[in-house]
Amino acid sequence: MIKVDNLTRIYQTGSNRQVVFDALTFEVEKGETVALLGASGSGKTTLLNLISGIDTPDAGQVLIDGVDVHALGEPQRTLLRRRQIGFVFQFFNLIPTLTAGENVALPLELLGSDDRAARERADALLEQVGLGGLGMRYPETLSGGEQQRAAIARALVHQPAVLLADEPTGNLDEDTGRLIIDLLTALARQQGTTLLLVTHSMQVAQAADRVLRLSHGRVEAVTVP
Amino acid sequence: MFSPLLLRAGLRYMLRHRWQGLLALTGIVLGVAVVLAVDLANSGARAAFELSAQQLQGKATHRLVMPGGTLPDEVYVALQRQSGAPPMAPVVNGWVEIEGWPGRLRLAGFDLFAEGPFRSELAGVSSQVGFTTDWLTQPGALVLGESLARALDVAEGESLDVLYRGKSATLTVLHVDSSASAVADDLLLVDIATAKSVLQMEGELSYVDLILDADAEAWIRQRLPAGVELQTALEQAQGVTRLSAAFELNLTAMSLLALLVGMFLVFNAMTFSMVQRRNLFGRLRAIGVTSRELFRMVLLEALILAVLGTLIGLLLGVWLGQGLTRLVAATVSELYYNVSVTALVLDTGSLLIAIALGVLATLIATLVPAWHAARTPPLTTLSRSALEQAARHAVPLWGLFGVALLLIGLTLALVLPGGVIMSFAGLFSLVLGAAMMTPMVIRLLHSLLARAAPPGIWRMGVRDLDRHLSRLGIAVAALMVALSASVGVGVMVESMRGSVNTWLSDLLNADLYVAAEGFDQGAQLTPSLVEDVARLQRVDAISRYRERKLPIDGRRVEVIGAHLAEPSRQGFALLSGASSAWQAFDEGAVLVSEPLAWHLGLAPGDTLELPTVDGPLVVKVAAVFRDYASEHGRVFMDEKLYERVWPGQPLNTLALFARDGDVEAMRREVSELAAEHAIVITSAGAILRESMAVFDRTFRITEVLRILSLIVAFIGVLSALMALQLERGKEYAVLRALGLTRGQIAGLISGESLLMGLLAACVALPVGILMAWVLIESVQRRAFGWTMPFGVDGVLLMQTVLVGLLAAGLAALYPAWRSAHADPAPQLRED
Repeated sequence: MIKVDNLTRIYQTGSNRQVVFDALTFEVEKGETVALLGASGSGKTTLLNLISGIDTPDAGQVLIDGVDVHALGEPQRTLLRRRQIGFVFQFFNLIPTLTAGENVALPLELLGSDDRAARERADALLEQVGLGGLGMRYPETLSGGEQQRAAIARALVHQPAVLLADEPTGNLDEDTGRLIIDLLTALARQQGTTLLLVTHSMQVAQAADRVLRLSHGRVEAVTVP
Repeated sequence: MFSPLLLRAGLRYMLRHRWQGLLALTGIVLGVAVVLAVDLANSGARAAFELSAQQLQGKATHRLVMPGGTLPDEVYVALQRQSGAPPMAPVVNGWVEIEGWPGRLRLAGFDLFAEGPFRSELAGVSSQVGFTTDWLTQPGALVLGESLARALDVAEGESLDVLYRGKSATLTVLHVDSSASAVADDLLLVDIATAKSVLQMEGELSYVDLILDADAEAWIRQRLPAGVELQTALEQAQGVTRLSAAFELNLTAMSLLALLVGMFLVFNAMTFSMVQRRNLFGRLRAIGVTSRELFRMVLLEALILAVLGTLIGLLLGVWLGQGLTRLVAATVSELYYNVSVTALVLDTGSLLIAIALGVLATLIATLVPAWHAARTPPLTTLSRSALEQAARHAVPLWGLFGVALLLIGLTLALVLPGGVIMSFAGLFSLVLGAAMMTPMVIRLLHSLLARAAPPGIWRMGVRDLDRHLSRLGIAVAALMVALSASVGVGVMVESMRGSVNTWLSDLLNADLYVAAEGFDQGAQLTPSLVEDVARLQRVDAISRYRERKLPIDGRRVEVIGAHLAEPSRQGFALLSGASSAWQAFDEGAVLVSEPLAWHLGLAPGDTLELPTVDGPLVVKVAAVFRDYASEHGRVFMDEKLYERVWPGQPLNTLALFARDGDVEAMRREVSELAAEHAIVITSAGAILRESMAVFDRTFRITEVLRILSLIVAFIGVLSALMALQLERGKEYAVLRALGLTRGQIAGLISGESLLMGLLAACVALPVGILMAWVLIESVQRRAFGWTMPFGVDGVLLMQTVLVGLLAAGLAALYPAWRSAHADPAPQLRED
C-alpha cells in the first residue's frame, strides 16, 4: 500500500548540511497499522510530509497504491491527499472558524458531497468518536481530547486509503492519549485503512501491528515486548 | 466545485476579527464615497447649469450670434420677413442682481408669439386665461419658478426690484410656475420689450434661436449678414461647460488619490488577514484544498467585502455628495456662472463608475494577497521570523520595481508628449512607485534609527518595525501616499497662490482703479467721466482698458484694447519676445496670454486671427505674457487698433497713477467725480485682497478632500496597529509576565506608531514635492497652459510631518490601551 523506496532528504542551511534520511526504504501493507518510533529530530514528521506529498525528497520514491506521489504535479498531489489520505496532527489543526461538525464535513464537501449528506456522515462519525451532540461547538470550546477526537473523525470521514498520524497523543495527558490511540486504531481497522502512526512513545507504539524505529536516517524493525 | 464551508470559514474569520474586517470595509467605503461624492458634486453643478442653459435654449438647434457683441434687431426682422424662413425666436438676456440676494439671476426676455415651437414653459403658461393680455400690457410682467419665488419671498401680484449696472427696475410677478417643467431656479422670464428696457439693450438682441434641418440651415447660411455667426446648440454648450473644466479636473484628481489610498487600505487589511491565516491555509492545504480553491476563496471573500463596502460607500457618497455639491455650486457661482443646486442629481454614470471602482479596486488590491495565500505550503512550517526574512529579501525587488514605476511616471508626465490624461497616468505611476519603494526606505532609515535609539523598550520598538516589515510597511506606504498627496497638492496650491499674488501685484501697479458701477455685469464708463478724470490735477498718468469676449478655437478669449501708461507696461511679465515687444505693440501687434499661446502654439512673430464683423482680423503676436486671469486666454492690443475694429465702445476701466505719489490727494479729486458719475473707485490692494479671497475659496474644496484622504490614511495606520496587536497578543503577555508595566506596553505600541508616522512623513516630503513638480509642470501646463515658479513652503512641510505624527499617534491610542489592559493569563495559556 505504502512503499518508501530509497528516500533521501537533506536540509542545507548555508554551509550546514543535515542528512535526515539516506536511501530510506520500507513498506506498509494495505490495512496494516504501523507505528514509527523515533526520538525528537529523527525526521518522523518529515517522513509523513514526504509520504503525503507535502514535502519533496531529494531522491527516491514514495508509492501509494502503486502511484508515485512525487511524479505527480502539485495540484495532483493535493487531490491525492484529498481523496486517499487522512491526517491527524499533534496540535489537532482544526479550522477554528468552523464548528466541530463542519470540520468533519469539510473533506466530504471538498470531494463534492452535498451539504446534507456530508453533515449526516459527519454527525454519525462524531457519534462514533464520542462527540455526539457536540457538533455545533467551535474547537476552542472543546478539551484537548475532544479536539483530537474531532480531528480523527475529520481524518476518517472520507474513508481514506491511508491515515497518517503525527504524534496524535503528544499534546494530551496519558489517560486521554490511551483512549485516543484505541479509538484511532479501532476505527482504522474497522474501515480497513492503512495507518502509519508516528510517535516517540513505546506505549503508544504497542497498539500497532508492527513497529519500526527511525534512527540516523534508517528504519529497523522493533520487536514489541 | 467550491466548498461553501471554505467560504464560511473565511467569512467567520472576518467576523471574529471584526476590527480587521471593519477597517478593510472602511477603506472601501471611504474610497467609494469620496469618488462618488466628488463626481456627484461635479455632475450636480454641471446639470444645474445645463438645466438653466437648456431652459433658455429649449428646442433650438442653432443660434445666430454676433461674436463679441449683440445682434441688431434688423438682422432678425430682415430674416423673419423673407418667405421660407424657418422658426426663429429672438432672445434678450443678461444677469441682474437683487438686493440681499447672493449671486446673480438670469433675466431672459422672450417674444411670446415666436416662442411656441421653442420653449414649452412659456407656451404652457401662456395658455392660461388672460395671461397673454397681462404679459403684453402689464409693465415689467414677470414669470418665475416656485422655488425661486419662495426663496425671494414674492407672490403673484407683488413687485420685485432688480439691479442692472447699478440701475434699478421694478418687475411685477404675473405668474409663479409650479408645473413639472418649472422654470429653472435662477431664471426670471419677462417679455422681450421689458428685458430690453431693464438690460439697456434697445434695438439689440442677445441672439436669435432657430430650429433648423439641413435645408433650413443652408437657407440661413445663404442669407447670413456679415459678422453674424450661426452656431449649433452643441457649440454653445461646449463653450460654457468648458468654463469649469479646470475646477473639475482638480476635484477629480483628488478623488482618485483618495481611492488610491483606499486601495492601499484594502490591500493592507487583506494582506494582514492572509498573513494571520497562514497556518489555517496550511491546514486546509494539508487536507486537500488546492491552491486554486484558496485563491478563489480569498477573492470571493474580497468580493463580498467589496460589494458590502461599495453599497455603504454609495450611501455615504450620496450624503457627502450633497455637502460637496453645495460647496462646488457656491464656488462655481462665485467664479464662473450662477448655478443653483436644490437637489442632488443621482447620475447613473457616476454610480456605475463608483461601483466599478469599489469592486475592481478591492479585487485588484486583493490579487497579491490572494496569490500569496494560494502559495501557502501545506502545513506551513515557516516560522514568523522566516516569513519576515522572506519579506525582507523581497524588499530590494519591490524597491527596484518602485524605482522603475517612478521613472516611468516621470517620463509619462514630463518627457513624452500627451494630454492631461497622460500627466495623471504619470502621476499615479509615480505615487505607486514611491509606495513600492517605501519598505526599502524604511529599512534604510531603520538601520540609522536603531543605532540612535536609547536601549530598552525604545530600541525594541525600533527593531519591531523592521521585524514586522511585511505588515507595517504597507501601512506606512498608505500613510505616505496620503501625506505626499497632501504635500503635492499643498505645494501646488501654494506655488500657484504665490504666482498669482506676484502676478497680480505686478499687474495692479496703478494707485487707483476706476470702473462704472455694475462693471462686473459689463457696465462701462461714460466718455464725459473719462474726460473729467483726464483733466484732474493730481493724476499723473492714465491707462485705459476696454474689452470684449471673442470665440477663438472654441474658447471665449478676452480681447482687451488698452492704452497702457509706462508703469502699467512694466507690470507685464513678458515670457518671450520681451526685447522689442512694446514697440511692436504700439505698431499694431498684440500681447497674448500664456494659456492661449500654449493652446494655439503661438510664439512672438506668429499671427493670430480675431473674428470681427468685417471678417477675420489678422494680428501679429508681439510677446507672450504670464497670465492667470483666464484659462481661455487674453489678448491685449493697442486701443487705437481696437477702436478701429470695434469703434465707439466705451471704456471699462481706468488705471490712475498719482502725481508725486500723492494717492490721497488724487483719491479726493476722483471721489468728487463720483457725485456726478456712477463709478467705483478701488485701490490695487483691495482688488488684490478680493482676488486672493476668490482664489482661496476656489481651493477650499481641495482642503476638504485633503482632510478626507488623511482620514483614510489614519484608518490605514489604525488598521495595521490593531491587526498587529491582535497577532502579538501573546508576545505582549510574555512581556507583561517578564515585568513590563502596562504603561511600558502602551509606550511601546505608541512609540512604534509614532515611528511609522515619522517614517511615512520622511518619505512623503520628497515624494510630495515630486508630485507638486509634476502637477505644476505637467498637469497644470497641459490642462490650462500656464506655468508658475515652483515654491516649497517650509511651514507646509513641517505641518505634514506633524499631521503624520498626529495621525499615527491617534491611531495608536486604542490599540495601546487595549494591549496594556488585556489580561495576559489567557494568552499565556494558549498553545
